[in-house]
Formats: sequence, structure tokens, C-alpha cells
Amino acid sequence: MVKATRVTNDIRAIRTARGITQAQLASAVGATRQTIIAIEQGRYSPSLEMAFQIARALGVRLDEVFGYPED
Amino acid sequence: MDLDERIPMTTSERTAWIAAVLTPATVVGYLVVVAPQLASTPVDRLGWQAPMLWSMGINFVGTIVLTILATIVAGIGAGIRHEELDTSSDQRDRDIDRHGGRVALSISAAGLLAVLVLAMLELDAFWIGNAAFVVGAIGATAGSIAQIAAYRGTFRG
Repeated sequence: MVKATRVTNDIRAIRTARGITQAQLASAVGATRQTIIAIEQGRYSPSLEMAFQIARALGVRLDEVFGYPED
Repeated sequence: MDLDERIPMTTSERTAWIAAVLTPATVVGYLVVVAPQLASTPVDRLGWQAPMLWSMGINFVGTIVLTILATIVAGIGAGIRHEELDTSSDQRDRDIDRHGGRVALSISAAGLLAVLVLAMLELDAFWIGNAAFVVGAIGATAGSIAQIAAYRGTFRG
């Protein structure tokens, strides 16, 4: 089992609710689909810039899609 | 989060896998050619330079050729699954590539200290050249393995 990053996200839930595919989101933020999958799984922490791009592409605020829970 | 969903390989990851296998394989191939000569030939008369250059050349060209072939095979596989193969790279690939480079450099730099010691002891060029070759190969292989681990595991940058 792979351990997830501390940065959590709701990309998959928001994306599927809006009918956006991984490929479409990847294209919108200039990333590969592999990177979107890795971020959704918490296996890659995106840069702040990419995080903003993802939030913008999903039409939500940054803190609505990404979280950083306390210990 | 669904951590079990398989992440398809990027072209960069494919290259890392190929390098992780081909680099040690070409070094072993070199040693298989050169090492037996040590029993019968003095090191200062041993022809190690050409096999080493061949080994490095096969590694360099082989990595490129095998990456192209692997991409073609992946493209055929994606076609069978009615998917489109994405051969582009992005920030994650660049981050992981830098991570692998740092691992390779740190190991190679540490190993080069051993090469320096051999040079200070004025050992034959055979030992110095071979130590540098093996140290570089170990560093490169470790860098590729670090890249694979980052691709298959969790990468925080």
C-alpha cells in the first residue's frame, strides 16, 4: 500500500460531479493524465501554481479542492 | 482516495525502467569480456578501453532505441484498448527526473572519492578508469531506481 501525501484533495469527486474527465482536466492545466491520477490518489503534491490551475479548471476555490489536515 | 488505481507509465518512466535494467546489464557485459583477461594479461597491457566505449555506446543508443520500441508497443496496447497514448511530459516528470539526478549525482560524487584515492596511489589507469566507470554506472542505476520508486510510490518533491 502506497502512503499518500499530507496534502489531501477532492479532485475526483468535484471532477466527476462536473462531468470532467481526467484527460480534460489534464489538458486544461497542461499536465499529463498520469499526473492528474497521481494527484487524485495523493501520490504527488502539485506545485502551488498547478493547484490554482486545477481549482480554476474545476470552478472552485483552492481550499475547496485541496486540504492540509492537522496531525 | 483510491490508491490502487494503476497509473499508466509516462515516456519518462519507461526510460527510467529501461535505464535501470540496461545500465547494469551493459556493465556486466563489459566485465564478462574484460575480467577473464585479468588472469592472463597484465593490466597495463589489457585492452579495456574499446570494450568500455562499446558498453557505454550500447547503453546510450540502447536506451534510446528501447524507449522508442517500448513507446510503439505501448501505443499499440493503447490502440487495442481504444485509448490514446500520451507521450508528453510535464512538471511531475521534470520533478522526478531532477530527483533521480540528485540521487545519481550524490552516489557518483561519493564514489569519485574512491577514484581519487586510486589516482593518488598512482595505480594503473585500468583501475582508475574502471572504478570511475563502475561508480558512474552505480550512480546512474540508483538514480533510475529512485525515479521508478517516485513514479510507483508517493513523490513529495
